[in-house]
Amino acid sequence: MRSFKRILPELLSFLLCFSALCFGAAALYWGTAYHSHQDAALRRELAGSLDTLIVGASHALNGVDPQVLDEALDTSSYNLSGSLMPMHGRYVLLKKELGRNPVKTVYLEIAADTLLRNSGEEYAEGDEPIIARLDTLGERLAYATQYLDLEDWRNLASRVMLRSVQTLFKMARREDPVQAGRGFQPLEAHNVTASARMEPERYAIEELNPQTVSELEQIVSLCREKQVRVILLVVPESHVRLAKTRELDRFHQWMKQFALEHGCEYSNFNLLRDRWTRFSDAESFYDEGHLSAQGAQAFSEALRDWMRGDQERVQFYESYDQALRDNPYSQESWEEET
Amino acid sequence: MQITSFSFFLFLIAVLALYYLVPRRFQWGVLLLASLVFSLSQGAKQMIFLGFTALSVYAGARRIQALSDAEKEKRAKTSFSAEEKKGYKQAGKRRRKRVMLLVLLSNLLLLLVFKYLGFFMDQVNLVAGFLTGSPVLGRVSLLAPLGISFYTFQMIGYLVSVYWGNIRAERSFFRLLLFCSFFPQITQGPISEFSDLSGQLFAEHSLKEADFFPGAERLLWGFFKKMVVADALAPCVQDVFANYAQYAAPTVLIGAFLYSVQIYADFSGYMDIMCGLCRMMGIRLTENFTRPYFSKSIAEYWRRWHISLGAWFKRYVYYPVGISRWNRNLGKWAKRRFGQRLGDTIPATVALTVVWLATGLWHGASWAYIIWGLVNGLFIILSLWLEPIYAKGRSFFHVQEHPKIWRLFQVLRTFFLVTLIKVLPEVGSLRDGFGLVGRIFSGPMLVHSLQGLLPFVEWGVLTRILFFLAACLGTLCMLLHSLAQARGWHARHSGRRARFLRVLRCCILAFLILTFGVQNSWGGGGFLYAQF
Repeated sequence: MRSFKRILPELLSFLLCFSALCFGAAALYWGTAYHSHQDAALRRELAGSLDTLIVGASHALNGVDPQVLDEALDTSSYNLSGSLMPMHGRYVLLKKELGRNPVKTVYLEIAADTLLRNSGEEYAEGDEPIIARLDTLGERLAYATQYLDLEDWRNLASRVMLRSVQTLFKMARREDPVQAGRGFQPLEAHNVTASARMEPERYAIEELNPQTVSELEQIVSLCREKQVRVILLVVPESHVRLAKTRELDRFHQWMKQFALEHGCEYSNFNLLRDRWTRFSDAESFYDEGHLSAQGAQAFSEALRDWMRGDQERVQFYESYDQALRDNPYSQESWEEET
Repeated sequence: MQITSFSFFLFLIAVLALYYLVPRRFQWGVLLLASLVFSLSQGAKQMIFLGFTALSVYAGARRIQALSDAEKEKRAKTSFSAEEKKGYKQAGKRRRKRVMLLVLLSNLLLLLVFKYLGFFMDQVNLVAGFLTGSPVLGRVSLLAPLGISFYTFQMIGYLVSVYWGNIRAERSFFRLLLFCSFFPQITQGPISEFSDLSGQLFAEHSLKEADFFPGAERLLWGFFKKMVVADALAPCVQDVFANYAQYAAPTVLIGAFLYSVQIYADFSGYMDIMCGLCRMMGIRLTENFTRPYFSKSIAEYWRRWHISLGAWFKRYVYYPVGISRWNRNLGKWAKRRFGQRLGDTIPATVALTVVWLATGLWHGASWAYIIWGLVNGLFIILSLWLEPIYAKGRSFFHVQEHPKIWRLFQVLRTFFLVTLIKVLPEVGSLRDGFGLVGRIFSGPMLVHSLQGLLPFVEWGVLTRILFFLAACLGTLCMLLHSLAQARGWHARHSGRRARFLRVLRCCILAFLILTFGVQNSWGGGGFLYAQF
């Protein structure tokens, strides 16, 4: 024991110094707003005024422009989405906003990969921005203790430290802190067919993550408790992606069934009948799975039309199989082309 | 259990705590338990092969020892004539040799099956395909147990040392099992001698400040080298290796240099982690590196890079081949025919060729590694043969050995050569290896922008730039650290100031590892040398 005491002072001084360094770095990151997801101040400012919320992962973050909806539907919307946002993160952010806003409608974006993903393989990538978007250290700690396992704590710490170094760089380069819009982040367009490879991707519905499904149910119950209309939303992906993805119909059926059982609405914009004219793979997408600014505008308009109940302009295929028949990038035509 | 994972970090803390909490006579038991847990975490198959090696070598060494002891006892008790004594000695040596060869070959066979069977069958199929038009053997792909090359060589060294009578066979199987499976060195060495390591492994160690903190600092330094430098450079190097035909010569050269930095940071980083950890437990592992990129010749480089492997080959291959009867006869013949110098040089050349062929094969079962080994050997043999000409040239041009500029030239020349040789087997095929080297000399020399020079850095993404900058800064730190070591700057501070500086260094290292290293090591973080 005596020998342990001998090493204690140096060990403690190391731990103290290291902790101080880490907390200092975290404070620098959390105390400023140089990253696009740091919108806590804006949301505080808007508190009490929002009646529509959009929440989802990157598909929604880059795909739904609240301004388009607000102009046409006379709403006050906010896009709460974030890249790789896990279902529990959506729950936490939604709960916070539902608590301080008179929300009537929630668009809950769901993609097949969100339901299949194993959070352990994401290295807390989706959790870190959520933690940064919370208001107090207490809220952050509560989130981390509730949803992150030990390995993720290390990953979270690493991400926060890196953000702090980035913040330092941005400050040194005298960049302006980010002026967040209403959460929407438009992306540049790329011609996605140019780099696409026709390797089939498979979504096995049997491998749905039960934890994620249960968290989805939690979100729906929370909204129903607050008497909020919930719309489960599938954001369009590129035609080429659709052509090579298998078993999406099973996912589509599962979503339909889920919506029916939980009393919410479901709309799959991947199955828009006129998607071939509304979106083009050359201009409407940033990559195979994400809309570009131009695509987001087109999608937000389609969503607006659907909300208005414009049956003529917004019609859907019944299934992915049907859509595949009209897809210019279906296997046969792709092979011919290449 | 990945060395760079958080679970390994927790494992280290648990081992350290347990090591110093149990009564000291059980400390080696803690190490054995930890080693078995570590091996088990690599899969049950690992344990079976490890167990076979440990058990066969233990039984073989014990048998050799028993034969040797019985022989000595009989020689002491019985009065032999000189001739009888010689005959008895030779008979005893034959018996011991039979046991040694049986164990040695059974372990080498295991190594051959796992590492070389696929390669051998490919060659047979190649020849059969050439002769008959179709392959005669099916394809076999066996996953070699982790570290099999390292622990097999270490145990062979132990067995041969017992056979030569340099050490006595270990009585306790569990102690030998610890020597074979000691977790800090099982995956990538160092390949230790039993006489060097056993005394420390089985000794009782108290917690000493003078060992614990320098060990901890070295451990962090190792993680820094591996996670911040090597893992960040890996994608850049892979990019250059995959696209060298499209890149300009300076870019390919930089990619090759980065590979040299990567492999050094990776391998020496591992050694620093393990040497640091062992030092925290009062154990000094054999050093594997002495600033190899400061070498003035390729022969010197190989004395400073992977020292324990070089020493093993020297002890168990070079010397036995060098003094073997047929090689000595060859030397005598050469001396009679060509004079004293060639009489010395030719046997050495033969031994060096065998050593470098074996070194190439040890690194991997492919022609690329065999050629790589032979190219290394060729440079060393050439320098041996040309040494008199160099000496004459130096005296003719009045080149002095000592001026700094001459030494700097030698160091840079060696680094350049070593880099070119190093990349040969790593690009993919041997043709690509030579293609990449050729591109350095034949590719376009002009690059008009930094983006063009370093296309493997994603210049549009701040995070990628930061990671690359951190790796470059880390490389600079490694260079300064080597210089500091060479000039003994480390030893200049002592007492409270030294402790303060150490805490500061550790904090900065830990912060950089957390910020850059953790993310670099996601989705892998494996070590390059673990594949050997």
